[in-house]
Amino acid sequence: MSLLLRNKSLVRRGLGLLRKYSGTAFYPSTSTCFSDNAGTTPAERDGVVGRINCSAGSALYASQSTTGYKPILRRGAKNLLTYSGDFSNAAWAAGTNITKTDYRTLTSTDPSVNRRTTHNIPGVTAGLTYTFSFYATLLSGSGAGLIGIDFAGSTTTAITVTATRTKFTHTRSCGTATNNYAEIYIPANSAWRVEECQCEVGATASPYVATTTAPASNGIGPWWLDFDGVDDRLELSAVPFQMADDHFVTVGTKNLSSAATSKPAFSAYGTTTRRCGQLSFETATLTATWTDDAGTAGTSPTGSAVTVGTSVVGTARKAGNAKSLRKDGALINTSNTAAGTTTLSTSAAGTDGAVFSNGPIYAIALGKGAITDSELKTVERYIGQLSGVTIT
Amino acid sequence: MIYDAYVTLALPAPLTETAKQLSRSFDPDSGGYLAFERTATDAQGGLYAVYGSPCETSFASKIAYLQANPAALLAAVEADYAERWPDLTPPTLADCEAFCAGIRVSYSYGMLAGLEEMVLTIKVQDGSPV
Repeated sequence: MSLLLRNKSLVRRGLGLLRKYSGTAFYPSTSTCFSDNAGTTPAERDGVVGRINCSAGSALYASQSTTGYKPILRRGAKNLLTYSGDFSNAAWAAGTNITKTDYRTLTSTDPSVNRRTTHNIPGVTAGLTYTFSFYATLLSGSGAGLIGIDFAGSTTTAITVTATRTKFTHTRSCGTATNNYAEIYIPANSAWRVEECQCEVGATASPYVATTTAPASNGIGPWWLDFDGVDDRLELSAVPFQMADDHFVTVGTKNLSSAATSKPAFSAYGTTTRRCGQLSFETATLTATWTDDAGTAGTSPTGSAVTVGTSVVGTARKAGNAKSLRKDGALINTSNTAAGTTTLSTSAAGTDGAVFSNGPIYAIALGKGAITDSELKTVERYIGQLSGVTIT
Repeated sequence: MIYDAYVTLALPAPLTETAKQLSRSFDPDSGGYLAFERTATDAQGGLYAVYGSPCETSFASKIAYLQANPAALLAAVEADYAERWPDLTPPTLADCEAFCAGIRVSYSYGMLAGLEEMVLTIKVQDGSPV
């Protein structure tokens, strides 16, 4: 989605509303992200993000000074396979009687059965769907082979490779993340040219992106921040609202795991346990969380299930004592119990603050004040547009 | 700057402070000292300070050499401290020797993949934002 194709009126209205509500918008791109926390070196696609500046004109920014805690800037689908077009690399394991003749040619010398070459798929998450794809051309012998994925055992799709270069795909949902191999089965005494190997999250094959030592994204579609789910985080330069303020948090994101118990995309927090406006996935449930001053939960609306792998625009909104969870522009649940009133600060000791810490995050909007339903929906449509989610 | 390699480091928890002092120098940004704040356990329950980071291929290729040559590691770190952290005291040769003797390294892409290769278990984020 290029900037030119966006609804400019929606962008203008969304940003206008955010300014009205002391708001900020963070939309990752090479224009808003920097590799260093000081914000001096623009980030590159597939490079680290040490800082992201507000797109709505505020001075607020989010940063990270430790390289290993920085998310990666992506755009579009990510090819998980390293050396995706180079069978001469050791990332591709030749099985019995398979010869990696050159960087794109696989030859089976087995006299009777299919033999496979494999590539480990890094970072596989149970519950997600993966698609493996490649182009193949028959050079000699038989074209009757298989394309497969091994998650605690292989599943395959039979393919017929011909002299005409053809794309083949195999899609599989991961039940147990064990073995984790993309597989190509070559029939006996045959040779294939195999090119543009790609394994990605999702049920369809996206346009190919070549990789070498690291996964890479193809540059087609929304930009996003790729957090590792372990320790990556961007910390805001100031807490955008307090526990007692009316406020809203709208995030375009995707649930990438039903296994991890809690994945906050955004949280404003204080001393270990206090939370306000936290928007997270708790296993497969989109959740908005506020606590009381002691950090006790129970003041939050009931969450809403989101299918793993699905993009969503979630909103956590506080208006007086009413604390609501919204999903894709619609109200899901409201809780009317009192939340905390403690003042949060951005503490040098790291005990208070606000962070983005799980993703992918396509875009995020934060605001303070009594925004109306129709105004909030406009903000959600704006964030949806940046996230590849259509909200009507 | 594209970091096209990845390194995951693990070392016995008592060496955490030394690791953080060395990481201050390794990290091209200013927050290297804040590394090694996560822990992982091995099958015997041994506790390790762990850290994973994207890096340039040239850095990854130097690690094995520096691990085998604590004096070279010290020289590199002292030079960086002199340039970027002149008010701070760099680690000693004994610190570097202990680090090199204890460090475990994986070059698999991604921290979880690296820890899996080293047969270490980390508790992933559990709701805590930091």
